[in-house]
Amino acid sequence: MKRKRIPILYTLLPLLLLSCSQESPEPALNVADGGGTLSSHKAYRIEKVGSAALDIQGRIVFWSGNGGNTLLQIALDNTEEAISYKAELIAGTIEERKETLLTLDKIDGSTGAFRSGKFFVVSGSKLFDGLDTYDAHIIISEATESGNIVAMGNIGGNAAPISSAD
Amino acid sequence: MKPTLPLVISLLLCHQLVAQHTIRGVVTAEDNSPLPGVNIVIKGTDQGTITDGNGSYSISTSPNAIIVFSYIGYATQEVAMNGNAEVDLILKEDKSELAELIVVGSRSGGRTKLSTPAPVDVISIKEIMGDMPQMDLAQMLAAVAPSFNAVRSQGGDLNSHVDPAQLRNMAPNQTLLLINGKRRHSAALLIINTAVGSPSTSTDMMMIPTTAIERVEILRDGAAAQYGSDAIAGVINIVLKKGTGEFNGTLTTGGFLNSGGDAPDLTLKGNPDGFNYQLSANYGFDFEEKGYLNLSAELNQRQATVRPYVNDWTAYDDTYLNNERTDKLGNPIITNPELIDAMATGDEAMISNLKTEEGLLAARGYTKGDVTAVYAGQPAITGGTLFYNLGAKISDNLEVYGFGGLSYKYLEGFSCYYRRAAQTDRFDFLLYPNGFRPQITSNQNDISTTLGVKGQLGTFAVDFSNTYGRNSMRFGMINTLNASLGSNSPVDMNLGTHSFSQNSTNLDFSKYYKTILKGFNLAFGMEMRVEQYQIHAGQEESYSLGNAGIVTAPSDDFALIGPDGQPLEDRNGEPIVDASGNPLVLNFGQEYTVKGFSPNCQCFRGFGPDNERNAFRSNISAYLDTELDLSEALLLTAAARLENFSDFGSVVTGKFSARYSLLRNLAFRGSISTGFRAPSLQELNYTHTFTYFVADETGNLVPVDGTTYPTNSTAARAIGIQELSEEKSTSISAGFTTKITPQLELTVDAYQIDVRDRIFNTRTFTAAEVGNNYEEVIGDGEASFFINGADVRSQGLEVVANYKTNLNLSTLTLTLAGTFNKNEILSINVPDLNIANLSDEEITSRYLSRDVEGQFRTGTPREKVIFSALFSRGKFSSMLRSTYYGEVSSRARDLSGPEPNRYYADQTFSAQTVMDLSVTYTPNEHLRFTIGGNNILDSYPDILREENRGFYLYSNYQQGSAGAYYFGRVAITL
Repeated sequence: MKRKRIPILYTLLPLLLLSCSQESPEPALNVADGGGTLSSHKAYRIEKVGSAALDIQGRIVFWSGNGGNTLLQIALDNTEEAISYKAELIAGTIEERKETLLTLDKIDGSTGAFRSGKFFVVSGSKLFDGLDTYDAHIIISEATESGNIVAMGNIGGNAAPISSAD
Repeated sequence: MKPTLPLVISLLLCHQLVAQHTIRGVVTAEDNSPLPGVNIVIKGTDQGTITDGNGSYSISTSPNAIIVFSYIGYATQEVAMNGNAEVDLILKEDKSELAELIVVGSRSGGRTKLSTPAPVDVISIKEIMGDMPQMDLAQMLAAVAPSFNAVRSQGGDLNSHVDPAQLRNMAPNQTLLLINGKRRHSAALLIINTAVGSPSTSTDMMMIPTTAIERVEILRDGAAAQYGSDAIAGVINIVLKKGTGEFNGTLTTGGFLNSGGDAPDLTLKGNPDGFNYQLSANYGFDFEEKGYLNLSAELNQRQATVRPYVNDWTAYDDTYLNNERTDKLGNPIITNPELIDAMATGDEAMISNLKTEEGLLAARGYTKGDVTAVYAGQPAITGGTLFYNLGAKISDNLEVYGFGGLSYKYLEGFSCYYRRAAQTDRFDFLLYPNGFRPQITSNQNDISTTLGVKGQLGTFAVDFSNTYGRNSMRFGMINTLNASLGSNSPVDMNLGTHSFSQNSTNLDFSKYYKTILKGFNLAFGMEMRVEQYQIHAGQEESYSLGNAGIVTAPSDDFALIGPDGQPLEDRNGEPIVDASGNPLVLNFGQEYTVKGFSPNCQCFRGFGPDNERNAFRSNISAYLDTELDLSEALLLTAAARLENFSDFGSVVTGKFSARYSLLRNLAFRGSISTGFRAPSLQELNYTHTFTYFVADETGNLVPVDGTTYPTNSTAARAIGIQELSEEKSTSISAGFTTKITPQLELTVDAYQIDVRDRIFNTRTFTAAEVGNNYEEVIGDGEASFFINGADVRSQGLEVVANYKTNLNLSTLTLTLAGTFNKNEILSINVPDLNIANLSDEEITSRYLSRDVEGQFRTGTPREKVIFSALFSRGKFSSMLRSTYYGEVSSRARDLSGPEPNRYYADQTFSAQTVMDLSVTYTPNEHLRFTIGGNNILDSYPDILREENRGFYLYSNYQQGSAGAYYFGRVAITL
């Protein structure tokens, strides 16, 4: 039987060439930190003010953002479609009503939520982390000349959350 | 010679200049008559010439070269020149040279391709593979044989995982594939949508290394009476190499230009892609002239080509941009954290920008195409094959033979639409924040082996053999998820495994009677075949419904409200309330689908336990095949076959053919035959399910299944769908062959093939449409079936002309081959179905839908013409090929447009021409360099009209939409 010498390199070529692996298209994963599901929250009741014409009530929810911010969400029922409402965090209890701590975005009467979007964002986690001792309440008032207060509720250290999760 | 490193460069540097020397002479037969058209080749090279009409030749070569003289019907001779300038030669007749040429279509000693009673194309793969840009067998045959097509799918579920090979625009499973005359098994995959509109199995020709192949014979005629089931359109016989003592190796590399074609705004012009490499080697050992062992190996790696369709679909909807999405418990999902960061800083301009799709894409560094474009294109492939072919003489009258191989192929295909972040039913932020693009993968393993013994038993030639083949395909999905499992879903999944095995045992006898008229060949024999088809389930997550979107009440009076006190929202952001507008209240243990996330693996549901199958079939057949030379001019053949299948009974087929030589160089031929194709085990047993959601009376979203049911299922029987039966065919062909001059051959053949009960698949039927309590059988889902849907006809004309001449020191070979074909649907065979709530017209349109009908009739080119020119002179040779594809037309299944002016978005795609070119330089008998390209002018087919764009941007049934391909090749012979 005749023998033929097979070039040695020829047998090594498969290793050289096929070490190049297939490049599948990678999924598009670029996104800023802080995305995903929020679960850590504390929610407080907002009740109608006795003299208000409409039975406006709902909740304010403080969310611990994944990116280290505090996200506030307001959901009100029975708001008047045609007008906007002001939302403010005021120091002290409802009865004490001290200085304004934080003015939130206006609330759209047609949705009962912030006009600018679902959340009002407070930079940093300090607000959420300190909620249990936060001496404050929330006031909802008509964003009109009269400025009638339509609903309010104690929050933070002044009320037990109606819903919470760590 | 011992090559040094690096191989290619050192071989280039080893080129030697050799003094050229012209040799002349005359070649004659033993009776001193000149032999025109004798092939004269310098051994170990492609350089050569042919003798002219006087038997004369002239060739330039080195003084000590060895010249090989070969001619049909005569013994090949090798002559060492030894410095002589004039060498005359006498060639001796040798009938065995005929037998080596044609195997398919005849069980006699063999005939030349011009003397067969039916048209046969003989393609010398060994000779052409060096010049062709195509690397795998199916694409090579499609480039040289106009009747042969292998439409390479560029996406669409599993369709791109096997290249379906077709003859005469008929289904892939209506062509029988043989290797060395023995039946080859098909792939396990059932391709649901082939180019001719019907489901089909097919043999994956990529499992056979081209370097192992001597030649391919294509019999363009029905031959079921000779070979059994499937041989309706024709038979392809792959003849493996037997050569010994010579090492042949090639390295090929190439890539696609990716210019973007004619749709720059609708696609993404990218950098060249689809780079591929193929390494092949072949060597034969001889056993002291008593036998041979020829070994072949091939390694392939091909990167994907990406031909995106950039659509206008929404990447991020408002709920995504404004962080309005919630989970099943009402917890917010922050999908736009960039917006949250901007709101924390109070930057109003950035806040506005990030609430837009363009702004968020820019912030993440993406274009819209990155997160919406549908990718179609050729799949990525990595694979290898190892083949053997052996023969050994045990005695003067007995020879043992065997052949077979092992093959592996891994493929990643573009099968799926991009799952956009805007599609809430299939979205998970943690896994794929910007959406995802699933891809179907397959791991294909193939093994085959034939062992046989042939020799003389008394006065009969006997051949006894056994052939076993098995193909298995494990399907998977990468970059995917099961949305109903949420973030716990796996992102790569095993969808299941299909396997198909076949074992054939053959016993054949033949005897040639020289004294009966001018010769009579009698052949008879039998075959026993056993087949098995299995479907194994994939992993559970690929076919299950998880609870990521389902709430189970933990107590009585459980109100479906979120932490904000508002009703929970469905996946479209709509509040879930009762008729009074109040949140729904559940009792302990009650379940409610809050978010209708899609179950199963995205894009392709895995095969579940309900889809598992293990089916067997056996069949036994006997045949009689006769060939009678009534005179020197008239040949008559007749064959009959009886075949009995264990699952659907017996079939008898027959064939008559004749060939009459009117003149020495003009012959007429014709045949009439009946044929059949047994439904494959895959068609009989394949079942697959997909799932979607509908709302019940309470508005709750419930999943429902759409299933392809086997025809032996309760679902099929209840509706009146009949069990699949065999397709039956009648074929008629007539034509002539002529050698107009010693250099010019012409064959013209016309054919008509009628197939009764051709298998198609239906559209889906819902339980509501069927009525008659059909929901008790299939639930609220939908059902579809494979059916013997229609009687069809394929007619055509095939013309093949070959011209070969020598011009001084050059050789020119011209080939013009064309096929002109017409497909018709003669009748749609709708049985009496138990469907209460559809009209007869609606039932017919579901049974064989408009688009399927259109795909069969006009979905592939009616005309295909190939012109090629091969020119060689000295150390250089070149190949130019032009392929013309006639126009194709597609028909839409459903109406488009708004009421009241709805219309069918049918489309006709203009004819296309593509050019292939290669140039080869052969510096010496050991080396050969080739560069060239396929579709060198970068021609793209017509773009789909807007209504039909979705997965594809271009028509797929002409040259495809990969664009120009360029390659380089080095071949070594030692």
